[in-house]
Amino acid sequence: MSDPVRIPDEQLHALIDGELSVQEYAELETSVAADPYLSQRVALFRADKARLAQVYGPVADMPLPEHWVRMIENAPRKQPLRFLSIEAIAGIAAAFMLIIGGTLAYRQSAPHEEQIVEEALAARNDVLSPRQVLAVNAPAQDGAVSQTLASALAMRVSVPDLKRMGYHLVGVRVYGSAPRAKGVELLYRHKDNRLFALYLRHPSGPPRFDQYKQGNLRVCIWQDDVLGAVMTGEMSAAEMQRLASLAYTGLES
Amino acid sequence: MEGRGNPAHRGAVLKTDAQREFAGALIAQLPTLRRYAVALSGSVANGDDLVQDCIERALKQSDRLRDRQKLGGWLRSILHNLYIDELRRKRSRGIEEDITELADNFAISVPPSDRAPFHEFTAAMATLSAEHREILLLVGLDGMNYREIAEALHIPIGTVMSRLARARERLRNALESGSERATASVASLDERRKIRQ
Repeated sequence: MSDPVRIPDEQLHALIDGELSVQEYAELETSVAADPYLSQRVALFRADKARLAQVYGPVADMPLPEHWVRMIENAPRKQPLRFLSIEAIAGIAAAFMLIIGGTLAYRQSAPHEEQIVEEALAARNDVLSPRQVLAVNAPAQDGAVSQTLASALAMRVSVPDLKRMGYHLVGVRVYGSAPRAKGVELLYRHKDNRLFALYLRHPSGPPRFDQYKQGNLRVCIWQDDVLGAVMTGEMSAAEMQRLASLAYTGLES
Repeated sequence: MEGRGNPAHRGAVLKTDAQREFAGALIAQLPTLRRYAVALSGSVANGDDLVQDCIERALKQSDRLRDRQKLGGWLRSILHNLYIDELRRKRSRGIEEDITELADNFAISVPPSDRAPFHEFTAAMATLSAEHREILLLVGLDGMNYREIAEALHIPIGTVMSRLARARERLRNALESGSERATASVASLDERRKIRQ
């Protein structure tokens, strides 16, 4: 008998708010439909969202106080406001690209992902040599793993527990030596032998959350101002989304 | 001739156009800004005060806005800061807002038969933190997607998702405890009637 897969609340709300792809939506909707508890939960949240719009929506149709409009129309302004049109912004961007284009041209010949993703893929494919390897054979080693993680990343981060989705931590590898350039790869093994890698380091770019498929491998990037995470594994988009959510929230717990 | 060859005249026309453009864009934002303010503050009177203050500040600081596409978010951000300032002032003066009174403000425009759930909802919203109300309104009322909210609030998208999940959970809990209180109060009324009979 297999345990039902737990779907994080964040995913339920992403479903409600139309934040999933068509495929992810279909997969999650099927899982929810098969679970009466989740179905009821989603229905209640949907009803609350609809009620919110029903309760406050009509306020936008109320006539505006006339003095607001007069205040705006008669207001003196210190400086004229000049909005940039889309065309103007595009023109400036094009000019900027022409100026820097020459110096960056060599990069265009080999388009690449940002640094953290390249490192994560290289680590997963054993192209990078780890500086430290820690095999995890028993839960008692969780303390040692947390210590390794905190020391490498120089921040308090917990080791995500992914057992609820059938993944067990089997190893930790530390890469790099320069401060803020160290990466840690947490390797999880599913009971069906699939490998899920969670690569962590200081962010190498702006905040982002997206995922894509590279061959059979699904890659998910979740980066904020403090920490970057790249998750890789052979799985569906919906499973990755749930796993990513569990892993990301587990880092803070 | 209309003085077309005169650069000074051209400048004057441009200035007027820019001012008109800003005024028009600002007025067009008022209905949704007011809706947001009323929902955030919990009453029409408080919401209108916030909008009025927000307009004044926006007019004073209009030169800081460079991208018209961001006018709505800019105004919401001003309004939210004004609201937080107001909350702090009230807290320091020890003024507590009456949730029932706030809910009554909305219920006036609703048919009496529909007022109970309406009342419960506004009362439940009033129990949430400003941060939770804000995110519920951005998603549920202004229809912004997670990425837009992350950009507007300068927070990671993961924080948007977890904050929204917590806000909806708390709203649900507040609604459920409100319903239980209402049921208990009806039961208590029935008991009192029986005793009188």
